[in-house]
Amino acid sequence: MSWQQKILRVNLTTGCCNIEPLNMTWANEYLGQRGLGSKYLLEEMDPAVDALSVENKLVIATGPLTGTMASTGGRWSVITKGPLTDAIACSNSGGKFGAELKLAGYDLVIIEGKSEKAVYLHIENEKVELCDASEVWGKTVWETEGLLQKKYSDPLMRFASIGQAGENLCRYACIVNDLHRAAGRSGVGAVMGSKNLKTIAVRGTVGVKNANPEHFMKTVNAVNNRMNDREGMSRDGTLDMIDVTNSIGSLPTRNNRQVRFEGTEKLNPSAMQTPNENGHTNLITNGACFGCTIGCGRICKIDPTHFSVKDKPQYHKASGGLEYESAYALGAACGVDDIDAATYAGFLCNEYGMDPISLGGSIAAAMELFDIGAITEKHTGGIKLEFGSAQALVTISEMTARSEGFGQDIAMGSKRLTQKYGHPDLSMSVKGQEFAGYDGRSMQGMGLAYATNNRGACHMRADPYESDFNTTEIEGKAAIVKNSQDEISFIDSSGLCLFPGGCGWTLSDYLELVDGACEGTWDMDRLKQTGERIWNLERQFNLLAGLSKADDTLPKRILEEPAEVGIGKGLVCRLGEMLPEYYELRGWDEEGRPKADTLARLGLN
Amino acid sequence: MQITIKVFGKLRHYMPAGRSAGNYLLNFKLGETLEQLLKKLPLPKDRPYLVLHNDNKIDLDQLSLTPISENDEIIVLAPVKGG
Ligand code: SF4
Repeated sequence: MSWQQKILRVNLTTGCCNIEPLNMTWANEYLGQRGLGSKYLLEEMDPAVDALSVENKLVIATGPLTGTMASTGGRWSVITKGPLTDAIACSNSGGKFGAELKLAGYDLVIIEGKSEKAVYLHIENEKVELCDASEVWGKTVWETEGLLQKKYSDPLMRFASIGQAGENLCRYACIVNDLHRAAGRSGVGAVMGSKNLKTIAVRGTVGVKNANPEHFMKTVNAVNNRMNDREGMSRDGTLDMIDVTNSIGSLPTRNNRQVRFEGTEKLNPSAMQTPNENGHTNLITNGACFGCTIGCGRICKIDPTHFSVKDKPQYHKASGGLEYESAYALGAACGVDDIDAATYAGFLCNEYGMDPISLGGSIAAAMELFDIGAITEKHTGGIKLEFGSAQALVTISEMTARSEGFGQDIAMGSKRLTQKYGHPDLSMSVKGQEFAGYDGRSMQGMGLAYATNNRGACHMRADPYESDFNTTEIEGKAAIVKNSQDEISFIDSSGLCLFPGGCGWTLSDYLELVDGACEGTWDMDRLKQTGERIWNLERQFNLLAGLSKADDTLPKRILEEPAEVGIGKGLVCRLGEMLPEYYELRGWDEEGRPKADTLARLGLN
Repeated sequence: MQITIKVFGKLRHYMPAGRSAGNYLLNFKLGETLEQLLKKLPLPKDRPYLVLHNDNKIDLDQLSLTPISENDEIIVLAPVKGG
């Protein structure tokens, strides 16, 4: 058990909501969340459909450990075809929404079709209804949550919503839950917007059952005691990373023109925790997702005298602050060292529903276009879109959030934006998805991970960190990337968060929890094979969607322009040497297609 | 003589100034090696860490062979994951 063994199917075209049994054969093969959601998507949908068409489906998926007592057991995912990448998208979020959905009795919600009018989905255990959303359509995520919270007078109701960015089909619109947690990447919010679905409101009191509760609780406690290295994450969150990447020369700066940012000391954990000249401190406290004993979230306040919020009291309250990725993307990538401006742009991402990594990456690409004269103030509506300008960052973020003027171009994502203005090489993306905060020249393994990731550039799908920090030699990187991709595919399907892995947990701890909660025996071989099966299934989806080996690549800058400083000084990413080895380890042919015996071994043929 | 050493990542929390700074001033004698200098920091013995000396990564077994001089830039990091 630990699965609810139930799916909620919502057809927005017909307005029908049905409860169906979960396919338990698939649950045993794909575990849950990312794996199981991807399996349903591939089985039910032609991967070649347009991501924003009525044929695309949106799968909201929990894992077997979501909503249980396991630490970090609040994770949930959105699986769909991504409008940013035209590849499979799977965006993972925390907060409390996923656990509430599981407690309402569902493993998955499959949303299909398109509603004629704006609606929201209201779930209270088995009571499910589609409701008129005209009162919240056009409103921000925060306003929507506030209005519906008031309407239902239930403080325990949880919401996952799109903001105006999703309604306006911004290619990297996200789905925001619990005000500042998000299924952030690949544009899953635009798919929701294309279906005229504004919000999923959920309240669940059914609970989650384990096969052997006593044994499970013992496992939970034992594993918790092994999470012995979490202090840094609680205190500094993921932002701790910024000094590390900056020191080694792997902090993408000004659209990856540089790999070290001179303004890092104004964005790092010390800056966040030290009062500024007005006595204002950015960080208020940390925050945690459902059942999490780490609490890496940043709850921050913008200095009320800062130009971005001076006359806007609604932004003077504490809200979700900068994580490493948003500090990189809205800071270093744009050359901006103003922590309040970056925090404000991050607030806008939560409020209007945009992925901060892709927003920052797209603004950085536009700043480079501006720098080389490919766009001018004529295009930007008078904005001097210069690297380092906090004012430009703030203004263009507002325009993108509201789909105004040149903001509409930024909302296309860096790939489409740079194509439009004739410089596609300036998009620092893979499969159309903007880089995370690592550079593939100093971190060769990360370069390979970016290039091969099924959802485009991303830092959460492989774990080459330790190896990359230790050496820029490429020997062994293909195996590290391949094996960690498989392991992470499993963890992403469990309902647990990846971050305990940096706080003392090993893979065995995750395995013990899954084995304790689920029926059957889960051992290390089964874990790895399940992860590999999921990775290959995603690959199959992408091949059927029309992607190929040509999409497993990196921007020219990373392949041809050597890094100027740091441990990668003088190096480019040696992707061409690592990729064939990676394909071979995966059991794929030279074109990156899984061979027949690989598919047979994984039960995918 | 004195030298500034930067300590980042999780290791910062082992340092006396705690959460607010990453720069630490240490005394050293001419001819001292990186290993001798790092021994003056209250870092945990069992944690693998990364040392950068004037932008070069120094393997841990080379620390005792690397002399330091004034104005060197020395950074000590704990390898961290993800984020
Ligand atoms: S470690 Fe951070 S992201 Fe993961 S569950 Fe805890 S608070 Fe959420």
